[in-house]
Amino acid sequence: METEREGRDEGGRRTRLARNLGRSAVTIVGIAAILGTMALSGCRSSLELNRGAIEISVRSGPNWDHRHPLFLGLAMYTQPQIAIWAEDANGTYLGTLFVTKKSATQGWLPSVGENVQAGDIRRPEALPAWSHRRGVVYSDGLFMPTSARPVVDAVTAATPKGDFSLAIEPAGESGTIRLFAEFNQSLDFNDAYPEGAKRGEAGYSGGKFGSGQPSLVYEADLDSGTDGVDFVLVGHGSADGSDGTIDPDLSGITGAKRIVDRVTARVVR
Amino acid sequence: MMRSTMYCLRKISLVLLAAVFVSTVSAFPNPGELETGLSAGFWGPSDTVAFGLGRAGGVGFAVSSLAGIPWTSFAPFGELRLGAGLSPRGTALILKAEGVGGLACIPGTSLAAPYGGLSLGLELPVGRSGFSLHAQTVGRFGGREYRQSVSNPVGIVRYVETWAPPAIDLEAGFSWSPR
Repeated sequence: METEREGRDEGGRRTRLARNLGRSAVTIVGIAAILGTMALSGCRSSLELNRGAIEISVRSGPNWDHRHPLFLGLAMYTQPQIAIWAEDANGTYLGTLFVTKKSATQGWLPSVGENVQAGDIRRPEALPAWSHRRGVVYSDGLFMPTSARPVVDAVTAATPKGDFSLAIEPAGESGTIRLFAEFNQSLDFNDAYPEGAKRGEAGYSGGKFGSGQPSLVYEADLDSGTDGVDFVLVGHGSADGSDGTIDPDLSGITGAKRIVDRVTARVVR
Repeated sequence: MMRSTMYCLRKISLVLLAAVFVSTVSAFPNPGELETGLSAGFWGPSDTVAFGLGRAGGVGFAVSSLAGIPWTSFAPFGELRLGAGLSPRGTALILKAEGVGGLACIPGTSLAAPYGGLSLGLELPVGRSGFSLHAQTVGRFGGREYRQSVSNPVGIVRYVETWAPPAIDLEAGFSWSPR
């Protein structure tokens, strides 16, 4: 009887031991898999820069992330819409280099309280200078791309979370190339561009789901003999997106000036 | 303020309605048992929708998916979690920690990105029903870079894009396993 009970206890101990060993083995394999994953994720590549290429670098400013308060100190953050394009010395549009995916594909999402389907949303005020310079007019008379006819001849990507660079290998020998970069953060309303402004009123920027402060446009002229140049803030785009003018009057602009810290272009020698 | 509250309510309701989650792992369930569960989580600016299933032999499996707010940027991800739990003496509460490994499809591409992470959480069994409530936070890191190259009249434009999983995810839900 006693021997039988001892045998059962011994069997139970062995079962528990086997179970624990099994769990330990699984845990070890799992940890190894996770470490392997981490190691794989550490393999990063970088931008290729061949001789003669132009590198455009954007350094984000303190307002790159726009804070939208929620409650209890929680907030969500959005990043700006961006377009970078090139013109020749005469101001003739050559092509788009980079544009954020939402702008390139009409990938807008409705804001809370905005009763419209995602595919029907138009944001002409997002990047008006770029879209008008590009000169493609869509069936609704607006210049911002649609999902049916998205931008296909430029790099399109989600807004980077911070600093980023582009490389361009010029198609041919050119004299001066004029580079533009347009940035716009949505909903960054201020006194000059208030949320409550109605269409036709001063400071109207697309209504309560609109732009807030208008887009800012930076420009740099890059000559073939120049090694590098800083982009200069040359003005703001149309607040309501109705035209492609670049207005040099920056008196109503406040926080938008700090979306970008610095934009540079350099030729790789 | 109204908009903020509405945003949150909408987000939470979307998550609660749509999320079907995989239960998580602790050392406590009996090996060989399967467990199913429901959980809701925030994945950065998007909501986590996870379909999933269970646990076998102390190993948790998650087959999950990621969606944007109104689910326009749907992209699947798979995640494996392994961990262990402790129950403070005299309580039914389980404190648990897990390692996370996953592979996510990058939205808008045919590429996948690996990531790792850690999770800390609480699990509270509901009597002898087999149900447990759980709440946890998941930190994820890793991701990958991938190249884009486009040719246009200006020349060839090159760009390296980075995808990373959102850093912090909060999850809450319940799970069930046979007792």
